[in-house]
Amino acid sequence: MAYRIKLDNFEGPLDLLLFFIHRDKINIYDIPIAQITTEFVRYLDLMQKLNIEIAGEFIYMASTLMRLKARMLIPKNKDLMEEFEDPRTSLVQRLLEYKQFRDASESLSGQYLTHSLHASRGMNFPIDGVKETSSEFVKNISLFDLLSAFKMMMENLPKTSSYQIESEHVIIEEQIRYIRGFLLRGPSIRFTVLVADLKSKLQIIVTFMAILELLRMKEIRLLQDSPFADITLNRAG
Amino acid sequence: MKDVVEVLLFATSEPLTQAKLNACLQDTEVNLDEVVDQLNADYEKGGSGLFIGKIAGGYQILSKPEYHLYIQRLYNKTKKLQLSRAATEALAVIAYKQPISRSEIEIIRGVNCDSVIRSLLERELITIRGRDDGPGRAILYGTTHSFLEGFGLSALSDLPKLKELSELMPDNDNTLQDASEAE
Repeated sequence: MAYRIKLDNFEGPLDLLLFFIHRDKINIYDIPIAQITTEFVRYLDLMQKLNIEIAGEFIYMASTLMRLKARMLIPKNKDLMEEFEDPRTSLVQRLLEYKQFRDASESLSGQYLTHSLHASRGMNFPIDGVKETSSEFVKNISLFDLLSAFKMMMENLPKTSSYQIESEHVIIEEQIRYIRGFLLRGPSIRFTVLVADLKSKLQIIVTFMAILELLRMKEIRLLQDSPFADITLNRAG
Repeated sequence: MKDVVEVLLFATSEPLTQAKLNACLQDTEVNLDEVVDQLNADYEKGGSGLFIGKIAGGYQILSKPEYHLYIQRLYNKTKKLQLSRAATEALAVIAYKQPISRSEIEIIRGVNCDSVIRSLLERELITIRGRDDGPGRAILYGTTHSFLEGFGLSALSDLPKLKELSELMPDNDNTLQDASEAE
């Protein structure tokens, strides 16, 4: 693996769940556990594919979801209904509490921005801001926004047709006719001239085999001055 | 006494408190709140670009927001929150639930908070407030004075109210409504 991305300040599994809940307009008090578990695991796979180091918290949440999914499948005993607590309750409570603070952090940021419009005496920049940086630019985008954007992009990629390899049909008989055609027009022809117009290696090879075949049938004679030199084909007889 | 208070406000870079004022005036007793109200009225009348705001338990001369642009040009930089979402979240949890231990923050956020807490400590937005009495004697964190100053809060009670749990899911309420209307 060429690289690994480790995120220090990252949004956690609760954030990811809220992301699904918001996106799919799920009622938080009636979370479809099976559906959301599948989504969750799919995102973990995606993160893995992108070499993002998955924190233990995500794995733990995945296992919690799977346990919930299993418990949801257990048939409920009607008589015990009174005592039977919805297994999702504690997860819902955690999600709500987390959302409470996530919303609070947003209004806190708003508070900061409002106050930052005031200058004071001996103004010190308690949180130093220099020029707008790229991190500033992407501040309001979460990891999951990036992941889903990536996912959508991948899904919408134009389908690339797989590279097509056409099998070439070159047969010796045809190449024999090709050579004979040349020899009808003149008593001799050089090999380099013969193959000059041929487009593929296979055609050259088959043509060479055709020459050997013509030689075997004693239709031609071959002349070569020295090894690797050009070959001259002469009409026999 | 308006003049004295104004001079003191001008001279200090930290919010002026009643206690500090008392120390400066020694024998005379002056109600800071009242004098600030008078000064603010004067500023308003004179069409000043300044006003006196209540910050971190004291008073501070501040420029009005509409002059922000000029000050930005003066400093040639923008004073903007350079905190990641994760850090702001952790800061919110600490602000509302202080004193709080790291593991309690992590339970709420569902995520390891080591590095965010470190960066908040470095920026002096939070500080160590002591140790928990429970097993492990966990370190407890709380917000600092510069947190109040940076966020323009007069006191922790000025923090925006936490939303009630029932208010948290307006989206879903809408969808439920839509669904029932559709039926």
